[in-house]
Amino acid sequence: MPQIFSPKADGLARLTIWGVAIAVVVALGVTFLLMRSPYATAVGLVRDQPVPFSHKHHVGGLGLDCRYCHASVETSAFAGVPETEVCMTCHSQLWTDADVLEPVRESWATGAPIRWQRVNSLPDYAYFDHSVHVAKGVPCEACHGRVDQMPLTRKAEPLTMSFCVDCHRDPAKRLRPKSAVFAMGWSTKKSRAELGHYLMKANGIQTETLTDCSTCHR
Amino acid sequence: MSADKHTLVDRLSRARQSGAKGPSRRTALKLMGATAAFSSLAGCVPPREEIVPYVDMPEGMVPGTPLFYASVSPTTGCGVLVESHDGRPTKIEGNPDHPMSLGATDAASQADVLDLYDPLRTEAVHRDGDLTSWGDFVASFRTRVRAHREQSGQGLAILTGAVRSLTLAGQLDSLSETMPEAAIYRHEPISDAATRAGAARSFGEPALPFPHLDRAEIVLFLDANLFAEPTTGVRHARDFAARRRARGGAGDFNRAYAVESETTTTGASCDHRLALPPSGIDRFAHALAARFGIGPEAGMDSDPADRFLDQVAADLDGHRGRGAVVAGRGLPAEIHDVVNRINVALGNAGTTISYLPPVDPGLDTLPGLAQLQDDAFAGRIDSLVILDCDPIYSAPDPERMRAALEAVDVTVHHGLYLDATAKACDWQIAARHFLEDWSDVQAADGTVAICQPLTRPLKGGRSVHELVALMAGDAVTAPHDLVRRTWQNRFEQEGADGGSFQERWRKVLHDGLVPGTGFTPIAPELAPAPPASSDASMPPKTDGLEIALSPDPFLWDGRRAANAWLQELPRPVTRLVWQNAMFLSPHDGAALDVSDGDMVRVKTNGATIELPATVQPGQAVGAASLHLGFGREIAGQVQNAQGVSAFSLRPDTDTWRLTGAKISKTGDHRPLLRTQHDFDTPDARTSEIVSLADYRALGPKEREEPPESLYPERLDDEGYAWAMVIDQSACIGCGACVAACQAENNVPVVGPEEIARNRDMHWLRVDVHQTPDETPETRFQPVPCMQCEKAPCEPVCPVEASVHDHEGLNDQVYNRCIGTRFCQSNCPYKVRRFNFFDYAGDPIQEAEQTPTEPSLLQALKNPDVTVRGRGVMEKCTYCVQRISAARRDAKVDGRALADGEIKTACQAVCPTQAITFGDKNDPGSAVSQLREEPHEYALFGHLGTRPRTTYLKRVVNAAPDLASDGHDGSEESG
Repeated sequence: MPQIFSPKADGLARLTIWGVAIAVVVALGVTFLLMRSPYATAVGLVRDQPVPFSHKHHVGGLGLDCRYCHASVETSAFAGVPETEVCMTCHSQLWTDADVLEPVRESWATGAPIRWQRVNSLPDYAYFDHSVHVAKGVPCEACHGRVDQMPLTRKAEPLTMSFCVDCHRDPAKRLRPKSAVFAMGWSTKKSRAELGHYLMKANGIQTETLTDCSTCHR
Repeated sequence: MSADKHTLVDRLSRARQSGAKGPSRRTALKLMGATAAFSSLAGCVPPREEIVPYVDMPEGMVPGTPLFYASVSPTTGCGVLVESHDGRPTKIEGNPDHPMSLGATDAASQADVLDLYDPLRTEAVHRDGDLTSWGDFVASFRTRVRAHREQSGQGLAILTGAVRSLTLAGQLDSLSETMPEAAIYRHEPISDAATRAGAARSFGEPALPFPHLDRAEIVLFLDANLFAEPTTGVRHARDFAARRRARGGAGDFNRAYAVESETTTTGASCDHRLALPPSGIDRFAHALAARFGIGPEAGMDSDPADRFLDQVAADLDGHRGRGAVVAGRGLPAEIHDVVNRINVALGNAGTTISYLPPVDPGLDTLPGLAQLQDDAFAGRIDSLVILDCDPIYSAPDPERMRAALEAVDVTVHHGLYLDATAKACDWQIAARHFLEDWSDVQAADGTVAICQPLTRPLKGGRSVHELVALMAGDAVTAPHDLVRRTWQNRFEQEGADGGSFQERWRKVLHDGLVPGTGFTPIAPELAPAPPASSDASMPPKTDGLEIALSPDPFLWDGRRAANAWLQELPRPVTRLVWQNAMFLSPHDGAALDVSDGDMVRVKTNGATIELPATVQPGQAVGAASLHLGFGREIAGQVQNAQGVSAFSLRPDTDTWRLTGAKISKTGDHRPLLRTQHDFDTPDARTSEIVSLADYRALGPKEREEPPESLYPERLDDEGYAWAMVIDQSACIGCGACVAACQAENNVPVVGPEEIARNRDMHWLRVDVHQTPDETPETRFQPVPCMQCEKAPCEPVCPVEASVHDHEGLNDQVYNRCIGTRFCQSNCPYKVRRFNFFDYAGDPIQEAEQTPTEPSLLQALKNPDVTVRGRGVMEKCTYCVQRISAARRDAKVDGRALADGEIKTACQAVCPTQAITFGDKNDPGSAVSQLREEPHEYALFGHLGTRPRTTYLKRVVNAAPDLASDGHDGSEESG
């Protein structure tokens, strides 16, 4: 009776079995990496805006405080995007002829709002509140990055659930004194761990309730 | 709006049908192709969203934070605070400063926001059904009015409902001055005519008795469903409950009696209830009067009724000046007169009962619908303007009304909906919803509140003030200016004590009411009694069933018939939704061989209607009850095909009782749409009651050790521990909490089809328990999620979508839920609700294939609560969004939450403050103290679920001599 399987068959079978196993692992790995990559999290995303607004110029260069434009950041869930009127407080005097500011002037003249493209967004079932984070010493930089170095606003952090939960489990390493919440590139000469520990106590932050589902979802 | 638009529910079901059928194979392939193409193109880049800031932000606005404006509902006259998110009104709360609200609202007011966004509301101006413009109307109508004015108003007629706005009343007065020949008619389908006429007999002028139930120790309700009154019910319920708080001995507990035909919220809240047919109630009133020397001596004809009468008379006699007898609108004027005389004889008039002038005196002085029809047929009316009422629907004879409208040369209808009357008119002008309009509304006690707009007219509606100004030839037509002018004149007349007008006006707008506008009660000085004719004073017993009509507590005269929330809100005692039915006593049901859902035909006054019957224990033998307000035709659709209008049975608009009607079984059967099917309570552990004497004898609370549990032990003695206590002595079962929960939590409407499958979505339900007697004791038990400490729903969830938080809330994580429904199966309280369909999606867009612009209904959603998708389980979480908002505010301020700072939606709206919510770890909190009350109990406590929601047993102050009747709550418990 002739051989049904050639001598190569055994090798092929081994190769197939191992190959499938490896392929599964690789596929899982790629998926996992992809999920955390900027491709999925859109870190670094820049949108075309009606006005190419530069935080680098306004914050880094001119030293404007965040709250000048994002006025409700300390009082509301929503930090607020400046009304045209806020832009025009300066730009009715400065750069009054600049082409890039035409949409601002047009909005002011016609009363039609400027339509900005959102860069940082959360899903509708996640409820984030700026005011309480700011009050507890979470700096702007923790989620928005070095805005003072962004010529065009881009997404700085993934803002995924794991990003949020990492900090909710252990906020100490990101907390700052209230005076430094709005500062960019702030650092301290004190021990970071000690400061974090102190701020957790001073601000009455209890981590056990911070990871309750109802903290962010309702 | 075109006539072929369908009701919301119709469209919902169409959306479902289209979903059920699914796309065709070709469409599916196309969709698959498109999906693949899009996914490769778009990658994982988040969807584009815009941020659109203001150009110039209004002062005081903080983006993302709701604002509250004081306003007033024109239907109820009760002050409200309207929550507005970035210019979208989303929720109505009561105005705590307004005497008719005191911070609460009735159930129907909660649904007013839905009407604002209702896609069925008529738009702009139509002429004979075709869209035209306000300008066209003004051009055409102005010349017409000018011609009328030259003939001092001859041929011009205006029909309105009750006028509660001072500005509108003033405008109509000045119109009458300039055009004395112009005719003004009133049509109020649910009228107080008999009550006013009764007061006119007693005191010589029309008045409405206003009982102060907080001052009364003995109350007798004679066919008076006081708590369901839109204008005063909230205040009466609050006052009543103030005397029924069983706390620490309960020194000032009242005793309440009701004599009524149908079991109402008011009757069910009393200690003793006697079911009598309408004629029996009249006899009871006369017999009671006789005990106090008014009218001839009389008695009742049955032993229980006689004993009831003896007890009531003895109690009222023993509490002179501290009792109150209240008569309902369905009783004839003569009985109102008798009741007024009883109250005067007992010294109650002027102490526990005030007599207030009616808000709209025109209801007594101006002609009504019958006169309008006669004038129209006689050719005395050339132009008729109908202001927000639907006489073709609510007239006793719709065809005669229709013919009358046809006999008029030009008819103009001003209203929110394209109803039957609007369709019969030449011009249809969209009215403004009160959240879009300026006005001023007078409450039943006279307090005036200013109605201010929260949004621009969404449907291009026109204010009633503007329309009347146009007719009167007023140079001022802007509603704001008209209302402001009224008050500027009035403040100037009063003198300048209150500062400048601008300051006073701003304060009035801010506070939501004009101080010092309450009525002065009239002096209850008796006119001589009319000569008693023996047959009138003692109505004979009638043969056959008497039909008692009453307004539906939610739809009222049908004005809210288009409101899906209210259609689906379970009726207080029957739990019926989407339909009305004829209520029969078990005795009469058996006599007619009719059981629940059997169709009956009612024939009287030349009209015939067919509707299902329901056999209601507690219904008076010999009385069949019917609710008005259903079956109104709006935009070509009869609002819910299951409801039937009973207006046509009435011979005139002031009739509430029908005798000699022919009632027969048709042989058809239609299962009743209700959210509860069993009303008996065989299990004594649910909804317990305790007599006042037993309650007083109870020692301090003894907490039993809860049964052993396999569930994880949680340490909850640190931080907040949320808990709720519901006082069943105070609950009147009105349903306001359910409506408030629906508005607050984006709870969808499912429609009659799904209700028939028992798939209602209310997170909070009010269970009705009735003892299985002939004269049942009815009690109400609101059932929200119990937030069990040992929650059976949690371990069965395969994806941990049902989890506990550290403050004791049983969270439902919608974005995790995969819809296994295991939790629902394992919940002993059945408080979890499942989205079988994509209610949250936009059913109207889906059905009409117009995905271009977002539906108006989306603007109604509370942005602080997740909108749930299809296949997701949902439930009450003690309004976690309100807890979270308060906690975040407290954290920003660096303080702890104070007791009472968080009010859940159901708690805030409750007219009787039956719901208390707070932190049980704080021994000083109201909720902790109630949990220590000896009559506190847990529903199904023996299951060991350790619920955080607990109840206070209903305490009943039974009269000793009636205690053996069985329906008085004397049974031993606990």
